[in-house]
Amino acid sequence: MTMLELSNVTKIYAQGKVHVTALRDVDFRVDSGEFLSIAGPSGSGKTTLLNLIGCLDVPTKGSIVLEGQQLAERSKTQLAKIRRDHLGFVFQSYNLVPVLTAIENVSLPLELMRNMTKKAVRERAERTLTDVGLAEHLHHRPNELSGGQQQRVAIARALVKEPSLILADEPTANLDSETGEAILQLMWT
Amino acid sequence: MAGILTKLAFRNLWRQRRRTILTCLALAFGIYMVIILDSFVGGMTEMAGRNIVQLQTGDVQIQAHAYVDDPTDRSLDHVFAYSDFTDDLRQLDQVSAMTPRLSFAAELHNGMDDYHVRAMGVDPLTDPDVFTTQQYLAGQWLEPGQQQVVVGARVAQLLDLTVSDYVILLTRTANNAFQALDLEVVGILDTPHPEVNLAVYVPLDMAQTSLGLDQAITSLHMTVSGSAKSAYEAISSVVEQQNSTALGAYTWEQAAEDFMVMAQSSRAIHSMLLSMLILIAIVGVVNAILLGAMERTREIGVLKAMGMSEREVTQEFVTEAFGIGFVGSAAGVLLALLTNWFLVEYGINPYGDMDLGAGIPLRGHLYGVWNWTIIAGAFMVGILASVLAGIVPAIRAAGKSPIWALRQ
Amino acid sequence: MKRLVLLMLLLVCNSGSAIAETAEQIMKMVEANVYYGEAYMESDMTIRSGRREMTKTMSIWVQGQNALAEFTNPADRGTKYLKLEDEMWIFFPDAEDLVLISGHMLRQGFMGSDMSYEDMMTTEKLSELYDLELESQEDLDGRPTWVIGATAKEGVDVSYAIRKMWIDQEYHISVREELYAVSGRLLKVSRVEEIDQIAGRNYPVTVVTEDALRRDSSTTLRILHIDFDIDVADGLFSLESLQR
Repeated sequence: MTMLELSNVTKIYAQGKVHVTALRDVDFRVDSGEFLSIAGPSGSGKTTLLNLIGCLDVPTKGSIVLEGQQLAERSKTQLAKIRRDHLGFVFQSYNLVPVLTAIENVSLPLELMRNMTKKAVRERAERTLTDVGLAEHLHHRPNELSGGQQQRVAIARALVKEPSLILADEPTANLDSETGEAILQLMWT
Repeated sequence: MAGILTKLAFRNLWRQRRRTILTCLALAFGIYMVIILDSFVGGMTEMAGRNIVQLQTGDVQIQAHAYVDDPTDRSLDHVFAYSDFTDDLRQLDQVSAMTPRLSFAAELHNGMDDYHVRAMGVDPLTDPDVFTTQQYLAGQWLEPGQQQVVVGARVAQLLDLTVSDYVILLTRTANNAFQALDLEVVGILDTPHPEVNLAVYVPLDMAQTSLGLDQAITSLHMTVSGSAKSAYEAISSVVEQQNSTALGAYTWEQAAEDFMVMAQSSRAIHSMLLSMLILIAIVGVVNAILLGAMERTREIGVLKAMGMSEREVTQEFVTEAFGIGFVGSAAGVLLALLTNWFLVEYGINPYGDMDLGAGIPLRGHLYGVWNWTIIAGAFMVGILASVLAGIVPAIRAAGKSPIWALRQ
Repeated sequence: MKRLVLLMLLLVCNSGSAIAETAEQIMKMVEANVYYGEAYMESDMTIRSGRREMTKTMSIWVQGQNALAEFTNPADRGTKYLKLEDEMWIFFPDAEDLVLISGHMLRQGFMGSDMSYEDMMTTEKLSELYDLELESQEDLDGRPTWVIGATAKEGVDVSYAIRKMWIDQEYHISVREELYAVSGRLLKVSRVEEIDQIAGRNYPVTVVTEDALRRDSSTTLRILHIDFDIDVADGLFSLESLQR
């Protein structure tokens, strides 16, 4: 089943009078359950592509269809809703909310969805954190966790709402190779 | 949902607690000043009003319009015989006491120096029924028909007078001829009304004889009971029945017009203070929210990537503004309540024995008043101004594009 | 400026020595000397109060009931007083302000002196305002005088209810005057300290006024120069001339 389809996606950034073409006529398809890596040198447009798929940005040209929904010409609020309900993000630099504990960070996406009881949210967040091996660190703030632990919280945060698509932008770049390997392993499962 | 936003807001306020506390303190200070200054102004106005009624005008007075229209007129051109009124006024239930006074300009000489004073012929027997003057008297009160004078403390000080000194009161008779009266100082008045302390009091009958005035006076002062308005109207109609168009009944507020104008201007001070308070709130809150949004640009991006809407981000920041407004206002009100309790109970004496000058009819100890409208108002305005001030920077913060925010 | 007028009134007298029988006759002789012609004077006024003392100098033009005085000492230079019949105006050069002296201002001292504006304004003859009585004859500074008591007539507006005057029997000049309050208390004393012959007439040229209620307080008015033979310019006694 097709989960994501890009056709003729072009993104041009205007920097003053200079136009930079970040992506030109990109076409590809991802099926449900697929694990896809995009590789390329720095500046080749990987992040731009992720931003477009992640509904953080809109293409200059072309169409993106996510779970049968055309993303073009949607309002900011509608895009935010799609992100909330269908997408999970894992960033290179974890980007946890510093004032929230691990479990609060993981609960956040569920709370934003507003369709679960407090108790259910808590149980699910706790289970997800346990799944990524952080059962001992539920109530630690990000600054009390190591890089690997933080990224595991970030993955838990992306997984917790069971999204259709998880977008991870160089999730292991800031980690040593051993931890990176463990993280990739985690995402596979 | 609201839970997580509130949690975020308060955690973020706590994260920047130094800034939060400073902003709250500024706001608290503003609230505090508004309440305390209002209490002072209120206390001063109340006290001054009491001084005017008890030492200068009584509740209602009858006098010539000319004297009210031109307070500098110290001539004897508009005197009136009050026996025409007394019977009718005594019939009124509302009038509980009355006393006549004769005000005239004079120079008081001690043999070396002299000083221009307002001299007041008073009926030694009935004056205490209306005025509390005697409470502030050192020495003896006047006796009818005697060549005696009670001098205000300021006059006594300026002319270096003590009880049992002799002075010469130089004035003009109704016929404009100089009249010089040799009087014995029997008492000295140190009242909380500076104008009274610049006046001298003599027995009314002695003054009338010396000035060639027979039974005439310049004003008739009354204490009324019950509704001041109905008493005033009843007295007014008595004056009208006498067909004396030159005379009128005046409430103390009307008679002390200058003071009332001043009291009104304290409202202008209110609005000024309140605008200052609003300004403090706006500057503090706008600063706090803008800085917070700048520092948390990336965080905002993450929240938005996770699907938080602009509205929710805005709400989070406005909640922070509310938090500052609430804590600051509450702290200000609390401090003000404590201080004001002290002011109301014990009062302070900010000017020592000095006159406030500018014709403010009070002196000495100042007490505060409880003005709950202002206290509640300042509290609400503090919160409201903070929230309103937070809205624009919050919307700006929420509008930041998530990609731009994440790239930081 | 009444004092000036009074001065003028006192200034001019013949030196005849008619034997006066009554107070009225004596006052008539004094008043008959009132000179309503024209004159130019230079004079100075020394105001003493306790240890403080200041002197003001002025030029004065007189014509009948009108008079113009212009101060010439540095502190008051340009200040002008104009008496027109029974009105008195002051012009202050610094404020370029023209003020009509009226109401309670009349009771203030003239330029801080012991003479009030009102004292200087009275133009009515004393014999019309007061009941006069010849009280005695006294020698004052070795010269024979008549002592006349004046009591204000009923219902007449005068500043001083009682006056007492010493009239020089030769010069017919009031050389000393005492002013009293209704109560009989002495308020002011003025005395002629110097009489000079100018243009064939006898003039009091130094008059000292003392306030009896203020210790060490006096005003000395001296006439330094008199010129009777003058041409008064048209419009000199007008409000316009004050502001020039």
